[in-house]
Amino acid sequence: MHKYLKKTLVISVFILTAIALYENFLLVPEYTGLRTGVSDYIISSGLSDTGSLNLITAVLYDYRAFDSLGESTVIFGAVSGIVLILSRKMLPVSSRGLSFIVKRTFGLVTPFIALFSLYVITHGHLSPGGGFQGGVILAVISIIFSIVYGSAFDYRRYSPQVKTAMETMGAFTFLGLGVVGILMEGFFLKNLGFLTARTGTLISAGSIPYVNFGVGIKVGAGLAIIFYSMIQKTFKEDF
Amino acid sequence: MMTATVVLENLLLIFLVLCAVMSVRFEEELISIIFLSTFSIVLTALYLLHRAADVALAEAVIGAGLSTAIFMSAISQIRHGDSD
Amino acid sequence: MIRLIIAYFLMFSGAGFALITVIGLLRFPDVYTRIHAGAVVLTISAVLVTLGTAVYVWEFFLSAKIILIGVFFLFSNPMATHAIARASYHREVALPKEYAIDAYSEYLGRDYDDSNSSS
Repeated sequence: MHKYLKKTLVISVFILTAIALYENFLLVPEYTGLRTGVSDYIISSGLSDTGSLNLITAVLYDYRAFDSLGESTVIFGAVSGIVLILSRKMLPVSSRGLSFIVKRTFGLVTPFIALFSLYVITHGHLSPGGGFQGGVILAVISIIFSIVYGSAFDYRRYSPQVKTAMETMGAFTFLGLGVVGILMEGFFLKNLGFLTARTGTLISAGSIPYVNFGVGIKVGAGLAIIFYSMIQKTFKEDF
Repeated sequence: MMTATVVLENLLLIFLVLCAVMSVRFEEELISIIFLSTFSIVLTALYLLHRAADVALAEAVIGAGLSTAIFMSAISQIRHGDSD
Repeated sequence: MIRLIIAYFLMFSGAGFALITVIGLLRFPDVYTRIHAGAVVLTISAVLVTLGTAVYVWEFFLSAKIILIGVFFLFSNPMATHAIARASYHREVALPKEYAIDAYSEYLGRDYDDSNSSS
């Protein structure tokens, strides 16, 4: 009796979800070719709507910002699963890293990598790039620390607590801008029109640079946590 | 000028298929990972040829950089890790 | 016009050096000689190609960025080659049986004992 009740409940939830999805998919406009419809609208009036010179960033963080929120949630789920499965102890077994020449060279090069990643993140609405790509370049810094200097160095410089706090901060930046969009403009994640400056400057395009920054920090910290928890038991020997 | 672009694109496509086949065919994992990295770099060149700079940057950073490092650490864990 | 000739000369010489690198990688017998070909010739090839591109573009900020990429090659390629060579020496990949002179193993001898005793 109890078992049948559970089964019917589950099946009814599935059927309701299927009906809701079908009703949603009916709302999607038909495919009307490459040069007409939504893409033509975005190409013709994307710059005046959002103020972002890079139309891909305008689509990602203004027109389809909810999808980007979903992608960030996917990365958060991946990070949670990998940390739950792989990380057993907090202090790693570390190698002594690579040789002196490699350490010195990366000591010279790593600040420029950080600068490049910040450039890609903050210029996401002006030039190719954006939050996701720059965030991955931020995660590369943590990978360099783990491989070249040993993962104990990475633990001392950027401990997992700091990375977790950074990821949470990025997620809260994204969601907080969405809530501010509700309060000021009327929709979730709507572009904040009063922040727009002259087109082509660094703080133009409304809330897109801030959303970029939040996504960049979130993606970088999340991928760094993934790599750190995967490298913990490895690279024991000295190269 | 037009034909040179078409020839370059076809060469890159052939090389792409070759890299994919090689990365599946080899027994050793390390060679497969290196061919996957090469696959990503060739794909980056193709995206740049088609003027899709954003996707090219993402492919170069994620495919050739990050996933290679993560695969390497996974391989090293399989070989040298003690499964307790 | 003379600028374009200089740019094409630099780029074609860089491509020629890259071709020499590939021939060296295919023809040399073992790891260390192949690494030698990849390090020395490929670095100057990349630097020449980036210099040629900078001359071809001939615009201040763009050329400066391209030359910075060349400087990055100048740093990174010998460093990566050094790391690969050192790792393959430590793992004893394809070492020859007879040595004429091997100063690096004497330098590393203390290093080996240390790592063996610690682990």
